Formats: sequence, C-alpha cells, structure tokens
Amino acid sequence: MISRRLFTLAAAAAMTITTAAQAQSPEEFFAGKTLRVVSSTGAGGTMDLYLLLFMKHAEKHLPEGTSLVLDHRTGGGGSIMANYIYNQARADGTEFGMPVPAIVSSTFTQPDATRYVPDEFTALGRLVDLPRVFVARTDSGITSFEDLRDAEGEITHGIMTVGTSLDQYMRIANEALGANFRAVAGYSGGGPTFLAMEQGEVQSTTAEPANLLANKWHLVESGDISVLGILGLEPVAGLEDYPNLLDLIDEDSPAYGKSLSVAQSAGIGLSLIAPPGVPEDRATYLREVFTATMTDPELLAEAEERSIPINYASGDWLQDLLGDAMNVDDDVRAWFASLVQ
Amino acid sequence: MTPDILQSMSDAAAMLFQWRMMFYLFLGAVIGTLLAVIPGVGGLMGLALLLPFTFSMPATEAIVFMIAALAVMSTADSIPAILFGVPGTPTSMVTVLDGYPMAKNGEAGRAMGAAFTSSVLGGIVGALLLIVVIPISMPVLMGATSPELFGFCILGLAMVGALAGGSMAKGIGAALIGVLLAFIGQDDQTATLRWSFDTLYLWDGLHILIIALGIYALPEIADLAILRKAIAPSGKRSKLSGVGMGFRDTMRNLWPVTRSATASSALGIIPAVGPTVIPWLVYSYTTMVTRGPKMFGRGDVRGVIASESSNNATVGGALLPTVALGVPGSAPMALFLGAMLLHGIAPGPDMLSRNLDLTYTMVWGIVLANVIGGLLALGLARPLSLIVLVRPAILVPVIAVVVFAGALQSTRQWEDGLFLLAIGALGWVMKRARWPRAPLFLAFILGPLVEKYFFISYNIHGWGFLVRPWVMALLGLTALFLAGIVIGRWARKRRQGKRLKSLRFTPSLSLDTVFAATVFAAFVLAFWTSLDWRFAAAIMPQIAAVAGIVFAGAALVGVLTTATWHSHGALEEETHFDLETDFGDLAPRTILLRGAHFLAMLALLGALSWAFGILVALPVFMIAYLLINREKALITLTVTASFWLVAWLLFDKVLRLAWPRPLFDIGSLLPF
Repeated sequence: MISRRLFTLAAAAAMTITTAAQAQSPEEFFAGKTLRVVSSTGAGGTMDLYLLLFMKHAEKHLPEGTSLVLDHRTGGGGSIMANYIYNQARADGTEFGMPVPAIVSSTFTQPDATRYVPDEFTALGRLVDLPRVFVARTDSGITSFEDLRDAEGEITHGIMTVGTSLDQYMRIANEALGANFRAVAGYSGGGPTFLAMEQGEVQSTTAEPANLLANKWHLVESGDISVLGILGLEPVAGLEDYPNLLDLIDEDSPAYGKSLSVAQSAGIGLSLIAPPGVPEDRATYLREVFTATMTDPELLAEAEERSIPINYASGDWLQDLLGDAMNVDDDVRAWFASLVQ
Repeated sequence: MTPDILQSMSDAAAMLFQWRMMFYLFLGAVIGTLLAVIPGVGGLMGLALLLPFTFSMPATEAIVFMIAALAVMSTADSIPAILFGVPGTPTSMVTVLDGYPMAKNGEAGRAMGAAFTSSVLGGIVGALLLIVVIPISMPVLMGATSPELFGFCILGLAMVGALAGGSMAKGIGAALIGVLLAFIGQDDQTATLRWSFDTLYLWDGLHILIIALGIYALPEIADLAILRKAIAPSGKRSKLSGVGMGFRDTMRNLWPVTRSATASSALGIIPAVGPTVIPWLVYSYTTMVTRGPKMFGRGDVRGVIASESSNNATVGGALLPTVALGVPGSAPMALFLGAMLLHGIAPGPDMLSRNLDLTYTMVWGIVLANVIGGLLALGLARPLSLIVLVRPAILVPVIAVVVFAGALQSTRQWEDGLFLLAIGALGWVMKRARWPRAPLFLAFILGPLVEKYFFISYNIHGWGFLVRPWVMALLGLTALFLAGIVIGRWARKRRQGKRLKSLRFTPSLSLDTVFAATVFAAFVLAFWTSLDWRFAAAIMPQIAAVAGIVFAGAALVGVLTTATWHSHGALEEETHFDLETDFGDLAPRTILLRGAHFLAMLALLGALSWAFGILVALPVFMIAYLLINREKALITLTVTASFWLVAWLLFDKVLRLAWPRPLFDIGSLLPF
C-alpha cells in the first residue's frame, strides 16, 4: 500500500514537473542553467578554439544567468563523444557538442563502434568547414595535381593512423588522379606531419587551410612548399586559385562517390549537434541562438583579428547534409570499411 | 650573442615587469600551485581546465598566465608525492621513490625543503640554459627526424637496465608488462585493434593518468589502509627546521642540481623525450655516479634533489620545440601550444627571430614563476607536512576519493574507475613481490614511441636508417650504457668473491610465485592472441611477449629456487628502486584480508558513483569507511560533511568538472 502511494506521489510529481517544463518558454527554461558543450577532441586543439569563441559570444544571446561550460570526451575516433551525445546526454537542450567531421563516414568505417544514427541528431549549425589542402615539397618535383599524374616514382605522404581522414584524402588522390602517393603512417597529428614534410622526411601531406594560411604560408611564398589543390565541398577563402579535386573527377567515375563522401565530411566541418528528441521549440531556439552568435559582428571581428576563418551554415542546412552524407552507394560504404581491414 | 638578441631579452624583461603582467604571472603561479597538489585533477588536467579561462585574456597576458601555471606545477606536485606517495602529476613519480620514505621517517619537511629548492633552481637553470641555446637551436630541432628520435627512445628504454635493481629478470619483466599495456588500442600502421576486447574505451589505449595513479598512488593508499598507522609515527613528527635542512641539502649538492637541470633542459628540447621520462633517466644516472653510502629508494635526499631539479628543468627545454616548430615536447606543452593558437600566436621559426621578445617573455616568465612557486610551496610545506600525522581512517578515504575523482577525469567514462582499480591491484602486487614499478612506467611511455619511430624510419629509409650518424652514435651510447651495467654487476660480484654454492628447488605457493607465474602466463597469452594480427601490428607486441616469456620465466625460476652463495664477506644488499612497506608483525592473512577490505570499499565507491554519481557516493563511502574503522559518529559526520563541501565547491562549482553520467542521475535533481 505504501509503495503504491509512493508511486502515485512520484508520478504526480513527475507530471507536475513535466507540465511545468512544457509550459515554459525556451527562454524561461534555459534561464540560469549551465549548458554543457562537449568536444570530441582534446583540450587545446582547433575544436577548442572554435568552441571557446562560440561560447564567449553565445552567452550574450542566451537568457541572463545562462552559462556554458566546455567538456572534453575524446577517443574512439570521435565515436565516444557522438555515442555520448546520442545515447546519454540530456535531450532537453542543455547538452550539445561538436563531433568530428567524419561523424557520418565513421559509421561506414567502424560500424561496430558507432552507436548512433547521424541524421537523427538535432543539428544546430556549422561554424566552419574543414577541407584539406594537398601540399608537397617543391624539391620533390610536384607542384600541381598535373605533376602528380605525371610523376613516375613514389611520393612519400605523411598520414596519421591508417584509415583516418589524412589517409582517405591520400587514397582519393591516388584513385582519382592516378597519383603515386605512398603512405608513411604513424604521425601523431597534423602539426607533426607537416613538420616531417618541412624536415624533408616525407615529400607531401595534406594540411588544414586555416593553419596553412595563418602559420605556414611563408613556406609557400618562399617556394619551399607547393600547394597542389584542395578537396572540399566549398571554395576556401585565400585558396581560390587552386583547383578542387572534386571538380576534376568525372561524376560517372567510381572515385566520385568516394570523393564526394570525403568532401561531405569536410563540409560538416566543425558543427554543433544536440541529442535526438530535443523539444522542437528549444531546438528552434538553440538554432536561433547559434545563428545570432555566428553572425554577431563582435564574434566576426574577433575571429578576423585572431585569423580564425568562419564559414557559418544553418542548422537546417547541416541537418540536410547529415542526411545526404548517409545516402551513399554500397561501394562507397565498402570502400570506407576496407580502409581499416 | 648579437645586440638584437640582447635587445629582445631586455624588451621581454621590461614587458614582463609591468604590473598587469606580474598580476597574471602571480595568478598563474598561485592557481598552478594549488591545482598541482590535487592528484589527477592537477597537472595536465588542471592546465586543460585553465585553458578556457585564458580565452578572454589579452594574448600576452594569457601566455604569461599559462606558462606560470605550467612552470610551478612541477614544484608543487611533489607535495602529495612526498606526503602520501601519490604523485601529483606523472612527472613527480620519481620524487615518490625517496621523498615518501623520508616522510615516513619523519623527514617530510626536509624532503619538501629539498624538493622545492632543487625544483626552483632546476627550473631557473633550465630556463637560463634556454636563453643561451635559443639562437642556435633551430638546426638541432629541424635535424631531429624519426630515426634520431628512435635512437633517443632506445637509449631511454635502456635506462630500464639501471632501474631494474637487484633482480634483472623482474626489472625487465616489469618493463615488458609496461610495453604490452602501452600496445593496447588501435595501431597506426594497420588500424588493428590490439587487445581492446571490443570495447571503445580501450580503442585509444590506457590513459597515462590511470597508469600513474594506479601503479603508484593506489598501492600506497592500500598500504596505509592495511597498516592502520599514520604515515609518520607521532614520535617522528616533522619539524619546520626540516625545511631548512632540505634547503641546505640542496645547497650542498649544487653541482648535481646544475648537472641534472642542464641535461634535463637539453633533453627536454627533443620532442620524444618528455618530462615524464627525463627525471627517470637523471635519477638512474645519479644513482650510478653518486659516491659514498647510498640510500636511494629508501629515503636518500639526493634522490629527491635529482628528481626535482630535473622535472622542472624540462619545462624550459620542452618550450623550444613547442614555440619554434609547433610540436609540443610534452603533454602539458600541448595545452600551452593550444593557448598560443587560441590567441593567434603562430608557432614557427619566427618565434626565434621576429617574435623573439615574446619567446624571451615566456622564458623570463618561467624564471619568475619558479621563484614565486617555490615560495608558495615553502609556505604550504609546514601546514601540509602535518598531514602525515593524521589517522589513516580519516586520511585514506579522503585521498582515495581525490584519486578516484582524478582518474575519472582521464576520459570521463566509468571504465576509468575500473582500470584504476585493476592497475592499482597490479601495482600493489608488484610492490609486494618486489617487481620494480619504475621500469613499467618508463616502458609504458617509450614502448609505443619506439614502435612508431621504427616504422616511420623503416618505411622511409629501409634498414639504412640505422647507419645514420646520429642514430649510430645513440645506439652506440646505448650499447656502452648497457655494457657498463653488466660490467658493473660483474665487477661487484668479483669484488665480493660471489660464487654460486648451491641451487635448490624450493617451490611454495607464495604471492611472489603466483604473480611470476601469472605474468608468465599473461605473456604467453599475449603472444597467442597476437598471432592473427597483420605483420606490422603484431611484430613489436610479439617481440615484447617473447622477451617477456623469457624474463618472466627467469623470474619464476628465481622464486621457485633458493640460491646460496660463496663470498669473501657479507654480501652487499642490492638496491631496489621502489618503495617498500614494512608491515611489521602483521600476518600475511591479515594483510590480504585488510587489502581485500580496502579494495571492496573502493569498489563500493565505484559502484555507488556509477549508480548515483560521485557527489552522492562520496558521503556514503566516507561514512561507511570511517564507521567501519571505528571512528566516532561525531568525527565521522564532521569529516564527511567538511570534505563533501570542499569537494562540491572545488569539483562542481570552481573547476566545474564533468563526470560520466550515472545510472540514476539524482544529483541533477538537487536545487544547487
């Protein structure tokens, strides 16, 4: 009898809380709350840079007293964070995060590790895309994509772990252009890989445009390093004169689907997603906050001052891209799966 | 030194001495000191927590703030290392070896005095060396490619020979356990998931923090719980004068301090050899070259001095590749690099030319922060040294919770807690069975680096990479070093006239026997399970496993037999580079029962945290532990309430730590 009473009491309390929450406007709901922003990479990286910039300016567009804290959940090639957001994070709008760009293609390469359906996330918007730039030491004799086609010998190409994004870019170039890149795996990040190329240990690699333009452009100007081109969904400011590999591939070619899929990961770039099932009004509100933040003149001015490229895209655009990126042929899925087998 | 460089140095000093800069420097030093005292949460995690706060600061102030916090952490992290045998950060693990035994002998004040003084001096010497080498460092940095880094890592790994102590079989066997633990996770060459058991948690391998806290911290807490005596008996109460004695000890050892700091700063420049490795190298070298009576591993103040003058000096060295190449020399430096990038300060050769004044600002910042950090730590020394007198029934649960909470910050998954317990159990058994733990930790760091640089080098140069001049020099040095150890052992044996008299098979089911047999079986199993892997993923683990079978087998033979020796006189006792706990007349059964009880209590903390969250589990665990250990109800409630309040304020409100999500998140229903 006592337990039944307790149950009735608890149910009534839960209903009261639920009804009260439903009656709240999103502004009332978020007021005074601490929102947790989850990063899928470690502290101090590019993701932190964007998240901290976003968090600093987003607080202006949230109700008074609402704060944001940064949380890092790394590992499993980004799957730990994405699994967390999909399965464990509160779906009330108070937790959202930045997945790795390969959030969709990871479900092809490591289906056993990914416990989420990408297009079921609540997409809030994109801060910037993350294409990669093919670069080579000029003394390797490679200064353009054409040179890659014509090269007779192997060109050593620095990558991190086999099957991850740097490897995918290299294999696309090999398949689409007939390039003869030979992977040298084991570098612990984009920075060490680029350094290995500077040191002459490897002849080529791919780089983040932002890092290349801000920190390494003197090597391009001095002629030590040549930019061959990019692979991404959109043009890159500052690199408009270089070809996009995607444009060079015939749409009927088997390589096109794979290239497009890799480019879609670049298009997802650094985005914010919330768990599935966030109440519609709060999801809309968070998307509005995102848009207001990313178009905030103060944010844009600070980004320009700090040489942080911004390429905002809306939550709706991102939601569509997540769906499109999942919609690939079986041979593309099989190609991704083969990278780690 | 050119006038330009002198001008940059003077501009940097002028910039740093502005009141605003000094404020941020002081703030960084204070916060860094306070964070480093908390095992797990301090150090690397502490810097990660501070990083977001720098975003709103002006660029140069943020850099000065971060470098100050980074510089002082290697000083303050020696406090828990000395007082509880719990390293505040992995870099202070070597300090535990002699610092903790000194605390047990009532010399905590002296150990801390020596640690702080040598740490400050080491940091300053390291930074000053940096000032000299900055102008000529670029060719060295650019010349350190994968083959050379492979050579450095092999040399580092050879140091295991010096740290192995009395039993070479156990020492190398321990190192090979470390190598195999480090090979867990995805391999770079083939993407094979090695020993990850289909769990996502092990995909990236075991976190260094879990190894550091598990292998050293938990066994010390367990022994305190088993002994049920304060760290230092009340008769050995540490005196403030001990701090002064430690200061004088350091001053008497100025040459070793300078030597350690100079070598450590120079080695710190090499990206592969970070501050977690270098103090071990310096310590093992110090134990070899020190003359006269030695007590290393049992409370020799020169061990504390060697470790502390080394770990702080690496900060200066590690700064160079970070700012000049954008390649951090250590994990904390990776966060410092993050701070630079957050503020649009691009690492690169310009930092050693056009932006040299900013680089020198960092170097002066290290020097000043070290002085401030040393003074702060000295100020904390007296009150904190009294902690060693606190009853273990109160101290043990408090440290256990801090270590557990720190471990949960590794990846913020519950598995962190599980692996902390597992590695802790391994560390405790190793300690009891006299398998030195230092080789395990050193090999855990260096093993994967050897594999990585080997494959990169071989992939590019074939076997030809072994005949590059620097590689040959480093491998030659390694061979000389190992030959020195072998010859030294042989010479000692000869001096003592030590000859085997008899060898008897004396099997017994002791902990030592069971552990050696288990390790032997584990190596066999490791080899067996790696047979399906592709060549590049399998070769290094298989080499390690086969070597492990040989050395664990030798250790097993050693424990199953009793040797008697002929000698000219009494045999010299072999140095054992690890902590030992004297359980006095406690029966083995009692030791095991109390150990199991402690493990069960920790499991309770883990289970309650998993179910309801750590802040809910904390008071239940504390009350249960204190009452079971017969503390009075009033004391129990007072200690629990005070500690819960401090933990809540620190973890939840100040640091705003994220935790793994509990099964029933009742903590989120609380109104505060």
